[in-house]
Amino acid sequence: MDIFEKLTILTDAAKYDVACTSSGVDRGGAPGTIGNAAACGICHSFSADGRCISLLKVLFTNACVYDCKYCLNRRSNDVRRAAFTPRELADLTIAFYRRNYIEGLFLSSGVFKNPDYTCEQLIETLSILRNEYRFRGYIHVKAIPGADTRLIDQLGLLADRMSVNIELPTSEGLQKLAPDKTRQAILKPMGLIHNRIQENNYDLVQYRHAPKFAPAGHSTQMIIGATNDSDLHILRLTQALYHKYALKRVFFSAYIPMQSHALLPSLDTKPPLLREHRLYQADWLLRFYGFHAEEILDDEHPDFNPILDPKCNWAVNHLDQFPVEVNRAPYEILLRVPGIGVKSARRIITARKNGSLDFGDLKRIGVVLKRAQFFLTCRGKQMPHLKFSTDTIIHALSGQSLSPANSDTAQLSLFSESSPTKEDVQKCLSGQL
Amino acid sequence: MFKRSALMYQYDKTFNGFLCCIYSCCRLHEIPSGFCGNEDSLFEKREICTNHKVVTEMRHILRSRLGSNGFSLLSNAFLYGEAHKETDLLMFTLFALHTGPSAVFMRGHPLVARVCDMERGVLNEAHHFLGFIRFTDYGYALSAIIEPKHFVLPKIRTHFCDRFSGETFLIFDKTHKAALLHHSNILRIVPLDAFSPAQPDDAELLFRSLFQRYHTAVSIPERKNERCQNTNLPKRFRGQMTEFSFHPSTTSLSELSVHLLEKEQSS
Ligand code: SF4
Repeated sequence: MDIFEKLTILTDAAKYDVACTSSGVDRGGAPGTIGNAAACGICHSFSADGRCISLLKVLFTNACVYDCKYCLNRRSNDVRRAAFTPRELADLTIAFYRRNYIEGLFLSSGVFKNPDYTCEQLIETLSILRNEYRFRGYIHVKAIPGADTRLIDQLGLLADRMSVNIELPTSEGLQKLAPDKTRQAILKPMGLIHNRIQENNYDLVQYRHAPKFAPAGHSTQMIIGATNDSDLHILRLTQALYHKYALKRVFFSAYIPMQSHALLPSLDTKPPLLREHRLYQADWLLRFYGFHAEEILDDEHPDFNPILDPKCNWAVNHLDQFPVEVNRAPYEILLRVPGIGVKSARRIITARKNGSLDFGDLKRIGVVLKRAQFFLTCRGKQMPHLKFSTDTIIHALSGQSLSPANSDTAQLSLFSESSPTKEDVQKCLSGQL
Repeated sequence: MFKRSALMYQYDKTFNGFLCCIYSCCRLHEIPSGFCGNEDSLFEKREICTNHKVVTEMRHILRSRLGSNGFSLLSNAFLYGEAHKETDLLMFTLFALHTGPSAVFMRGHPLVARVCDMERGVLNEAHHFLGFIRFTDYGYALSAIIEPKHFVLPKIRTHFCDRFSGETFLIFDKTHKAALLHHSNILRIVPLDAFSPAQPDDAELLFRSLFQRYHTAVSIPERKNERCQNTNLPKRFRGQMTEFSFHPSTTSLSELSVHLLEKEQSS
């Protein structure tokens, strides 16, 4: 099999993995080596689905001894199988990197023979890159559940980021769809990686030159829509994962039906892209805006509002806390205003040190007022000519009216190609939120 | 008080030259009607020469009056690729000289807002190019061509020199007719009118097509979203990007790869 075919098969098999970021580690170049890594991450291209291409994202092999129902690589599926050799893959990575096609490598794999053997192959690939080519670019590697602790440890010392996919939001789902995997088997390497990162932080305080273990942290990913779980459940799980394992990111991947199976959604189900998008928005609120899962959703409303994003939804349900005064509100409160993000909030804090701000000033410093105007006062006054009613607010926040005549069609149309706001769609589909 | 002058300032279009223009404005208390390089124009001109002593003095004054933030804002915004940027930059500088280092933070002020926008434009584009530049590998050297709106070479040089510290490379900016050259610790940005790269070799063609293949294969058809792709990667960047602009010749690519493999095995 030539390298074209291999690359095609193994890219095709890896493309559903959503984590393609190259962020989280700042590492300068050094004489006699190639590459560096930028903490902010760098996008090198965008594919036809609008997602960022930053890393060479491939499987080492798509052969697998397991039989997870939702996965194309499962043992019982009749697909063409391929495998790189460690040398081949390392050479390809460097050739792409030198041409500035990519920021580094994202390496995952089916379970080839057994977890330990697979892990050894990954280690060998990364060793060639790190030790032979002296590659200082970014490497993200999937830990193979079930592999020996010692091997996971070696892998972590070669990679920048590690991840273990939690796959499905509940252990029942896992039992049903991935009979060879258990929640425990997945959480074990996750816990291990977490502990190693903690220990390593301690080592680094003591010895500056201690080798770094996964300096860009670890992440996970789960499939949304293959099982019937509420958004609240997923969000709680996400929150718990951030707390317990100090994950850098939790990624969500809308389930795309590719095989028919009694236990899986039917083949004509559309991937729940809007739901995935709402989860990313909520995840963002957890990580950067100081929200708790229980503030965003509760047992009475366990699923997201399809029309409003989670932050607007929260604000509309807490109108008693608004409007807030731009010139006095603390940073955390500004962050809760729909339409004001981290950047805008920071800009407001900086700009107001030099005198009080009015709506004109806000526009000039780049605060978008379309949504925020309903929730702000400047020097005690609301935006002139503002029409204030729940309906106008919702209209402005979602770009649609709530009038009964078209509310049904509005909701339905959200699931077609054109969703609520342009910006939402763009970020949703690129998974960049 | 500054008075409006009917004269254009003619200078060498470098940042240092611009500093000399500011110096002249302050000394003569005038605001020129515009700025130009050495192109012909019907307007009356005052020629401003770039003088090393004046440059040093102006840098010193600006750093202390505008603060280091203000100075880097000015020098970044100067890279903005628009014909009439100088007047805005001059007005901002005069305002900042008058106000002091806090001027930079007065983002509600129209002059400051404008210059901040210019800087943002430059830095955003520079950041895009960190990823969007495509090198051709000749074995002994790498070369790339870019067509940016703004003069981004000074903003991307550190990144590439750090990344490819051991490589010899050239990045040619077609818009501004300049090139960034790097060869074992020597780093220069030089004027260059034209650059025609050598023919790519077999290995180069192979990796170009492999990347093109990768680019297609990694996309999920069920999620196709052209609008999103266009927003994130505007078409103006694509002219020089392998995955969009490379058209493999008629020689079958698998033949090529087999040929290369054989060559590798025999060596
Ligand atoms: S272990 Fe991974 S590759 Fe193998 S079938 Fe399950 S999900 Fe697919």
